[in-house]
Amino acid sequence: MVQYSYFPGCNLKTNAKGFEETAIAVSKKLEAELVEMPKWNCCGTVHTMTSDNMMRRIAPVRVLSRSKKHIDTLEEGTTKEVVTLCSMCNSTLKIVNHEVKQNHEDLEKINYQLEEDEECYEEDMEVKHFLEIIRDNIGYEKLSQSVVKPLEGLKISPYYGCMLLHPDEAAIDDVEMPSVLEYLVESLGAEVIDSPLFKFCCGSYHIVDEEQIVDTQVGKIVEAARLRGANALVVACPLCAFNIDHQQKIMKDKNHGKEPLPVFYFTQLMALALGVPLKTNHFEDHHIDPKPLLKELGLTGKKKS
Amino acid sequence: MKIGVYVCECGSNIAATVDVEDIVERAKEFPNVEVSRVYKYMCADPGQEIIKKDIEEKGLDRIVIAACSPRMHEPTFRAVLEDKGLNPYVLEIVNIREQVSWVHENKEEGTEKAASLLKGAVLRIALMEPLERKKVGVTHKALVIGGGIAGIQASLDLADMGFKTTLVEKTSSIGGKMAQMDKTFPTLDCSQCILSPKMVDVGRHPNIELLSLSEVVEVDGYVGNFKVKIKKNPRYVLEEKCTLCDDCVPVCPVIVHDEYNQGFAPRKAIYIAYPQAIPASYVIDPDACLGIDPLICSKCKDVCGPEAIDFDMQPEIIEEEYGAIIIATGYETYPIENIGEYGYGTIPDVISGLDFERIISSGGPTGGKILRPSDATVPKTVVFIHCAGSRDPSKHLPYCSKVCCMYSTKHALQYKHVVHDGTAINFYIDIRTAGKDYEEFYQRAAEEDHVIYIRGKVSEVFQDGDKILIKSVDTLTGETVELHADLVVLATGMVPSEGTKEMASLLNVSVGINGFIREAHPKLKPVDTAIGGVFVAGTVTGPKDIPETVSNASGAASRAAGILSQDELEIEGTVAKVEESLCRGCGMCVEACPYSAIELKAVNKYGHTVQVAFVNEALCKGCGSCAAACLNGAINQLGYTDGQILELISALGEQ
Repeated sequence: MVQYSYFPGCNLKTNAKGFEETAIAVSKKLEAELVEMPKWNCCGTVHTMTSDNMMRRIAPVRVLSRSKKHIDTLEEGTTKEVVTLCSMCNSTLKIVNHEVKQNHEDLEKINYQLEEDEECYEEDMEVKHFLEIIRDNIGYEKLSQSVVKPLEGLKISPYYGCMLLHPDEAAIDDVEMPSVLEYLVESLGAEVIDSPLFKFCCGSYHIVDEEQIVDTQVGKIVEAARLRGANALVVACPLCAFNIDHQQKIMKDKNHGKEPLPVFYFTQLMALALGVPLKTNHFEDHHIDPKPLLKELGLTGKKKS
Repeated sequence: MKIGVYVCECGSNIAATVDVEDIVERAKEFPNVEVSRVYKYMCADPGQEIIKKDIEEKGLDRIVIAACSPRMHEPTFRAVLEDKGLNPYVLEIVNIREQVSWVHENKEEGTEKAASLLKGAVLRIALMEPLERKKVGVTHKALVIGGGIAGIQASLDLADMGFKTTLVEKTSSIGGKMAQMDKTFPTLDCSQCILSPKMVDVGRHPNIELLSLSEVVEVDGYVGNFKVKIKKNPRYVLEEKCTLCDDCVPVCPVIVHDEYNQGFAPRKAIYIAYPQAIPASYVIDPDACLGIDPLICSKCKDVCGPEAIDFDMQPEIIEEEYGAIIIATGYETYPIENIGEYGYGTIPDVISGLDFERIISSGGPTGGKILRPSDATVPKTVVFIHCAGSRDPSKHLPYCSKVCCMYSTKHALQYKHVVHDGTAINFYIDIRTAGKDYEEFYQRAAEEDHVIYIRGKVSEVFQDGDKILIKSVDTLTGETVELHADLVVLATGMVPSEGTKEMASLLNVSVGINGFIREAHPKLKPVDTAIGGVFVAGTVTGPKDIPETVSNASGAASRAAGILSQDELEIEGTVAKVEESLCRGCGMCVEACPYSAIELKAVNKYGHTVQVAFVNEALCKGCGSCAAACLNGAINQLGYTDGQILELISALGEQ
């Protein structure tokens, strides 16, 4: 068993509870436990494009420093990695980590501000997305060996969104032809449906003020997957998940949407395949209930005999 | 010792900021100065006459001239000295224009600086010893590496001037990329039709020795005297016996992709690159043939009437001497497999510009019909994406490849001429039509042939059913563009060929950051390299179109002829000299020398074999790097010895 310092971020505690709980449950099954770090704060969201705004970098650097202390308290914490689930947290933390490692003067300024928190970051952390841990540390082989209920019948279209692949400093995979979600879905026994819109913008924060934009984007993303035979989508970002899930429901209610496709977090698929209790998925939070599909495919009941 | 000092006013160029009269007066007090004068233009004939007269009448033996940069007129004044029987190296030029008057505003300060520079020069020249210009013989034979249009043109020019020339080509035929092209812009001449006469000329020119399937593997020596090893790979078909009857091809059981047709057509293991190939002979592809080793099949040999096939041919090494070398190893197109946003080359109907050349060529795989690769149907909408992998410093090539705007325009035009009801759309960043008649050609495509131009870079391309979805933006209207195409042609840029990289390291010529060979001077020496006797032609130095490549090649040929036409070459006297007794053979100078002019040699010293640095004066450019690097002070840069430089510094430090 290895233990990782895990940074949740705000979404995982609110509208993506199923993401977090399934992630922690499967991490234990894969002997790579995610242990929540204490006293975490906001990741800093929407990384600033300015190079001299140190205020905006204090929060993420504090996270890195606290995560390091957390690792020292872990019995099996042998790595210097802080693991995230949310793509946005991953991106912000990674970029800031990269920046302060390049600019020592900036880090000095930030560390000076962190003195009152009794924190000091020493450039000794790596930010990893849980997908990277699965790919690089756990391995797909171990993952597929742990599967107790292969997800036969699920035709999953991986949707990456923007933050997992952009910009270069934060990318976890090839920007034009990523494969991490594809391999993961295959390891779980489900079928991969490639869609060219795998990183087509979900509409992001326009959900707040320009819902119409999100409708258009989500409509295209879902339609591209459906046309190619998908019966569900898999995502790694709570905002993508919300937009695609929620907006499909709205569109259906407005009666111009087609039969919606359920949206899974990748850890939910893992939980289903690894035999984690169904309630950890918090499917009640989903706007498009995946349970009818799972039931139809015989994936919700007891283990297949 | 009698030193003459001459100060030039250069009109007002110098006189405005330097009190020339004052420094002339001061110079009279410097040691050994016999005469000190000022003149309006020293470089003009009367100015030269003054110096000549003084040398004659006053018996001067050292000359110091305070004027412009020695880059301008050092040869002029050296000739003056030589004319009067003095050694050309007892001349010192003080640059009081570029380094004083042009960069200073205050006349007082300018004058002081000029005076101390002048004093330094006077002190230094007193220590100057006459230097000897050594002479080396010249081998009157040229080597041209690479048989594309650049190599062909350079070889023909040299051969026509009467010089024996060896043309080395890696593949089985000369012709290069130009042979693969269908038509050329802006005249729409058939490429093969204008190229093949030149290829035939190469094949039959008495002064040209053509070595196909050959590679240069080793180069030694220096300007006028290169020793070159060339590896000639076996053709397995005797050129002189092959009658091109084609009997061998039908019986050959091995089918592979044809490189000449960009893989769109099959060929056999025995083949001829294309009908006009020179040398005009079939060739066996040893990687595909079943007859080379082990001998499993010999069907072609069995049917060959003239008995031209020999499976036992071996590679041979040819050793030859040359006076000058021209590198013409050309380019490759940027691989579409590198361009992720356009599918990493995995979408069958997304092809490169060179692919499209083969598809529209009447001698190509479709016989001139425009058919797309996936299902061999006629594409009704063709999208041409300019700058595919170019002008993109963060991901691909930072530079502009110059020809892509024009070749995409040509492709669109050719497509419209064949498929009249089709739509041709060009997505561009800027249209660059800098060439004779190029802009008119572009206007014609847009206005007469209704080729559509949309200003915007395509962001993504992907397969959508049997069509290809293009996502872009029209930056003139600010609207996003989404459309379906049947065929997408990527205008990929030029990158240095594999051969260019190999030759650059073999010949020690430097390359720029983009991998193209660096010219000796980008403007004034565009076909020279930093290595004497090594010239460059065509796209080895950067993207070029055909007319530019051809004139570049002729330029290189004439520069090479400048060496080949001499019986002896004079070498600059200002070379590095090793004091053997001080040298301890550490080799630091060998490392420091940018021209590979120094090597360690074993010599017998007091009964012991020791390593001593040896300078090849023909290769030495007199840069002084070795003299600066030598910890023991064993290397002296002739003309710039430590003693001379110390005198200079002490004069400057007197202020």
